[in-house]
Amino acid sequence: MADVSSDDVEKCTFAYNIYDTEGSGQLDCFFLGDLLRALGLNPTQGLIEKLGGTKKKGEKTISFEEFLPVFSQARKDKDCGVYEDFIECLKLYDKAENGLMVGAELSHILLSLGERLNEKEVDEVLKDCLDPEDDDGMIPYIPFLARICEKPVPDDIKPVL
Amino acid sequence: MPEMEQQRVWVSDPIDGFVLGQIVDIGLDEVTIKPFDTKKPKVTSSLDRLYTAEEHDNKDVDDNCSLMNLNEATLLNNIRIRYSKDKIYTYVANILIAVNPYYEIKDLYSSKTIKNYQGKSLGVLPPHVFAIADKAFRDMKVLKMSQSIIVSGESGAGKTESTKYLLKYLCDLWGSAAGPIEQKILDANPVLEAFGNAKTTRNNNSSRFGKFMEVHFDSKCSVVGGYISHYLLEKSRICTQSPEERNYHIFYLLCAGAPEAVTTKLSISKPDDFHYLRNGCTQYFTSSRTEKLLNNDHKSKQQRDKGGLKDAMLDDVEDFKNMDQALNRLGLTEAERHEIYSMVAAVLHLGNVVFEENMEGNKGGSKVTTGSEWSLKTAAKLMGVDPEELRQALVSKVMMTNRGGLKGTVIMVPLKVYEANNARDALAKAMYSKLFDYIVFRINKSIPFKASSYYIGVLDIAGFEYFTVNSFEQFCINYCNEKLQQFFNERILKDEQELYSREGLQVKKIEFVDNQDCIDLIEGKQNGIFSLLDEESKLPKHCAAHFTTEVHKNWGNHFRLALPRTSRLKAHREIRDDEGFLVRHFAGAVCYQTSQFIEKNNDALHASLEGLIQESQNPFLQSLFASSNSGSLKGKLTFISVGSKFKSQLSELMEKLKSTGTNFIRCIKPNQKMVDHQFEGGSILSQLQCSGMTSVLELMQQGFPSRAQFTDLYDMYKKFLPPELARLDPRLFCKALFRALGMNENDYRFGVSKVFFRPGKFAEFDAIMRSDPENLANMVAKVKKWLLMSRWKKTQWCALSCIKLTNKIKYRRECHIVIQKNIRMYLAKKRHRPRYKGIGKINSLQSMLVRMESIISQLKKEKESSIKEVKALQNDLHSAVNKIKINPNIKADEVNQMYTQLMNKANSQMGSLQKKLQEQKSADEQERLKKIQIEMENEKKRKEDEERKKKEDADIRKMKIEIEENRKKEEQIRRRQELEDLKAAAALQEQIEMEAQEDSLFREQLEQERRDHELALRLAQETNGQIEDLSPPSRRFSGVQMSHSTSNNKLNRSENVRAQQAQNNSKYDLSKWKYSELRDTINTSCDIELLEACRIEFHRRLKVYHAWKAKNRRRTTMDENERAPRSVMDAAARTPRVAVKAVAQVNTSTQRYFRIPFIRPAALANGHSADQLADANNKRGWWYAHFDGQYVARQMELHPDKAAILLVAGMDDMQMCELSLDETGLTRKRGAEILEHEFNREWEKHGGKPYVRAMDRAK
Repeated sequence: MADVSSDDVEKCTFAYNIYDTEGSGQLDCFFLGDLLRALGLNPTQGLIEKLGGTKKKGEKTISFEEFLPVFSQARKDKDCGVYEDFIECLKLYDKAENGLMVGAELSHILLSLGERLNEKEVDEVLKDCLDPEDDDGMIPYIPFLARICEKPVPDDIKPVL
Repeated sequence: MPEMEQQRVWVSDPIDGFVLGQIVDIGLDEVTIKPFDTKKPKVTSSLDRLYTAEEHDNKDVDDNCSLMNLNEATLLNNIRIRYSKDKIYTYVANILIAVNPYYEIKDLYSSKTIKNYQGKSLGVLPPHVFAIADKAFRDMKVLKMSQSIIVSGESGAGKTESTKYLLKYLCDLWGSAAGPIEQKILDANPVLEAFGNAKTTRNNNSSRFGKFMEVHFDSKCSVVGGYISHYLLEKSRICTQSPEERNYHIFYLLCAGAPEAVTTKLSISKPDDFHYLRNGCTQYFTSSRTEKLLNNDHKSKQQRDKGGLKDAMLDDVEDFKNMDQALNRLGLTEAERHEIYSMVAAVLHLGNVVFEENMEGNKGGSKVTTGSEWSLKTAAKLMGVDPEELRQALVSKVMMTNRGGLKGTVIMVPLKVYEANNARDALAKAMYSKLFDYIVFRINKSIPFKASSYYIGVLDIAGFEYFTVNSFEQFCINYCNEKLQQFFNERILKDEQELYSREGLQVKKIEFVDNQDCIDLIEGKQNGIFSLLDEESKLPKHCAAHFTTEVHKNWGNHFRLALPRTSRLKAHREIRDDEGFLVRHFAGAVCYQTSQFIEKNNDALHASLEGLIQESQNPFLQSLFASSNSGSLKGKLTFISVGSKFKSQLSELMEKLKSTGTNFIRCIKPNQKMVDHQFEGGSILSQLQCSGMTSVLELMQQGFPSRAQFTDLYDMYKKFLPPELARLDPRLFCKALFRALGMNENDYRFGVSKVFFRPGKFAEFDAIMRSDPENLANMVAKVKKWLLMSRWKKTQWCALSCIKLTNKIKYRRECHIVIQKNIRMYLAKKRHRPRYKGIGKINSLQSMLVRMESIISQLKKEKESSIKEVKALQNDLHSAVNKIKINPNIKADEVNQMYTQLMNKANSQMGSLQKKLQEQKSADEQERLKKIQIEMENEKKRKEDEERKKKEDADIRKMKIEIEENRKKEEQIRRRQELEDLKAAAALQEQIEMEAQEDSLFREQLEQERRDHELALRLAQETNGQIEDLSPPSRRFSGVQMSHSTSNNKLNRSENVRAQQAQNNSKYDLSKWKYSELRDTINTSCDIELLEACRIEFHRRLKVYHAWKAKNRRRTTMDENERAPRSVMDAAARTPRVAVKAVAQVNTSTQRYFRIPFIRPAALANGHSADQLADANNKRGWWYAHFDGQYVARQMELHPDKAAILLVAGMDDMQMCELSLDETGLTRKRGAEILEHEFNREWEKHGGKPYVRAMDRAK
């Protein structure tokens, strides 16, 4: 592979082997998304599906040789999103521009729009990362995002306008 | 001062109202102005009373609303210029201001002029009273609603004349079918004037009563009738007048103009002969022609000595004939007229009855002097009563006993001389006022009154009055004016604003002083002054002092009421507390003396006089009093007082006015001398203020006085339109019309149901619409074209909007996906990372295995067993990895545990293996270790080198980083400070709000105080000689408990505090310093402390000045000459005032440099199309500033399209940023601060001279 350096191949091998639970040299395509994420990529569900990822286990497998082009393809998708983009997204819901949004709206977005997450996933991430709602049902979204992206949580919850 | 701005300003002046001048110094809270008129001294004025002048001060406009700067000063100036050109009428939107010219302007009221104004919209022709009349008529016709025209103004301002012209217009133009009715309405005037007007010091033909004349129209809008209501005839005038004044005209008309037969019959000769006339002015109004007609016997001594009085409008000889004929035309027979004249004569003769003490009886009564017996007889004859009965009724009064003797016994109580005089005067007044009532009644009767559909009412009532001595009459008239003022406020200001908000127009709220409190004070049901007065009258023994005390007791704390001693005039301050009270009317404070209040409030005659008249043989006299008969029986406790009668009359009138459409005419008296072409600015300004014109101006500046319903407009033009246009709905049609006509968007505004026009614009529109058919077709074509275009534009816009919306939805979706994928990433990480890391770590143990194997290979013994052990370990590792792999949900702890287990195992094995190897190869090992050590040392050296290099690198960037750190540090400090301040501010906020509230109240009161002062000043000027008694207008309140400091402005207050702080810090008192002195000090001083103090003071003053300028420039194209970019100004506005500490001393020596981009807002505002917008972007420039300590030292603007502007403090201060560094917020702006050499490079590149710091100069 011309566009995959030997360094990357090593990383890929390592990660691939982890998800190749049986060590059979064939990876269940169910794990394709997770594998790409383990390699530091941040693909959308749409992209994963396009690249051959499956929603259920045991439908399809992929060999390491097949995986390498998939990896390089996924890496081309530059739109992996940085923390700042992420803030921009939630700013759409920040009506008062004070760093707060309606908590219920956040879970609604995650559950029913775009590439929906399931309730378990949402519960987990909200439990881990979200500050409690205030009396008006508002939550500060910047600390939430910071925790998701594993950044230091800033003191100032207001977004930079 | 050459470098000062050449700003021409209006500064208030007590005599001229406002004078033009130039600012020569900016002081602490005030500025010094040098008037252009060299005779006037320099004036120091607060910025509140200073206005910028128009560019062309000699141009006048018909409507004051079209002035560029709308304020009191320009309003006055416009009226002044117009007056000098004989243009006496001026509009303020649709309110007419009329200045009395005091001479006849040719053709101003001719029939031709009347024809001209017919059917023309307001503003088409020059302002005129006819235009108002026409507007009222057209409004009545169009809106199907009665109209009223309120004519108000001071005595002598021309109200009655204006009223006459209004009636003339209404009758001349529209009454042609009515003929005789019109004549009768017009005939009412000479009659009313003869009986109700008199010469006063202020006006030769002063109406001494108020009237509301209704002209009634039928559904076809032709005159069908009229009706006159009258209010408050001044009765005291019948018995006494001031030396310069006269009694009612009718008395003199009879003396001078009546035929010989009449005068002989009535025994009337010359004014000198009558007690009721001889104390006043006894001259007649004559012309040179009528002077000759006068019989010498009828001339008073004054007349013979001084000749007649001259007035273009008055001639006593001629006027009698006119009046007599008018009465005739009104349908009074010769006999009826004679009866009226007899009554007038009876009043005069009655007045001549003199009393003296009756020495005969021991009851201390009085009797008629022998000298006046003849007068008594003549009066009795004219009244048709027995002379003896008249005598009896005058010198005694009938009382009914309540106890002692039989109940109901009538006894005669003799009257003392003064009581008899009072009884005589009361009788005379009653007779005259009843006669006046009768005349009005007769006039109304003579005007036919068929069923009318609408009417136009003209209210002519005396304006606000104030004299040195004010009594009940003034009290009533001023009460009436308070009510009218309130009506005016409601109609013009309140209703207008409500309409705007109902129609959804964005118009700034205008504050106006609500005078409801003053009205309550006067007419309140419980304890209003009228009620208190009536209560007092009902007491068995009423006395003025008790009444006055009651008033003060009830209202002592009220803002509108005060003790006479708080008056500005010395004459009033000498009045005792129980002799008068001071009312702060909307127009100013008036001091009333209460001594006559009770008597004047009661116009009932006492019983014996009442009885006398009822027994009169003169049926006419009897009929005059007929109506009041029933009332007199009810006794004293239920009498209807003058006050309460007036109160109910007035409320009736207000109801009438409220139900009609209203037009206002404000009459202005140009001077006190009643001469032409003399303009007394000060008093005119005060009149304008009193009539509320200045607040109207403020409203109109942003308002839309002309308006029309879409549907009405549509109907009006429907018949001219082709079918495809007629199909449009009214709103769209109107829009299309105005757009197609190219009317500026600022000229009109669309509401919900109406379209609103800026002052004067409706007229333009009207004119275009009524032009020839050719033009009309042209216009219709335009509308079509516009419609097509606008529809196309709309479609385009819709399409664009749809695209925009889809894009937006798409973007949102993308955003959602980004969030979700990140969450997936997070979840994946959370689940798999421990496994991943565990496996990685375990795999790293593999390397240990390799090392173990290599050790084993070097071993000589126990090789086999060691290999086995290693193999076992390897298996363990593999199984652990597999375990982790198979179970994706394995916990991190478990993985770690596994790893530590394995590691311990491996370590122990490794240890044992190494031990073995150690033993075997200790010598070799030693050597190897040594090698390693050397290697490590080398490594160390290399690292040190690297570090040193790094350090150097850091040094290079140090400057920049330091700046950034400083900024951050400051930012942090500021944040902390802000947090603390926030708390303080919250507390302060409440206080400030409270203060602001108090402040606004206080300002309102100050405003009132100022008016009071101006009023007093005016009165003082008119009456002469009291000026030195005038106390200066103190800014502190004496009457009301106000603990405010002297400052009247929040900004000023905080500035004062700062100034004081600065003073405390620097021990310099700069408040007395002149602007120029401050500046020279800054430019030359070597004393650092003084220098800094001066700079603070200097910039503080500049700030106040610029704030004023900005306030006064709201209508002109703003921001042409901004001193710093908008962002800096905004930052200053946001800076909390409390945060400003006197830290200036600490960092005086720091030099800081800043650079920020700016865009000229003017360019932005005009940039409509894309091209222009691009241009606007090109106008982006750079703004550089060098702050020496707290204040700007150098400032530079780099424009892309013109040469750079370089400014240096001490020379160009007016154009420079006046804010202190803290206030600009520049230090908190990211990337704004630059290095000194960066600034200097740009500075020198554009030709700036090197800067000498004040500090260096000091050395």
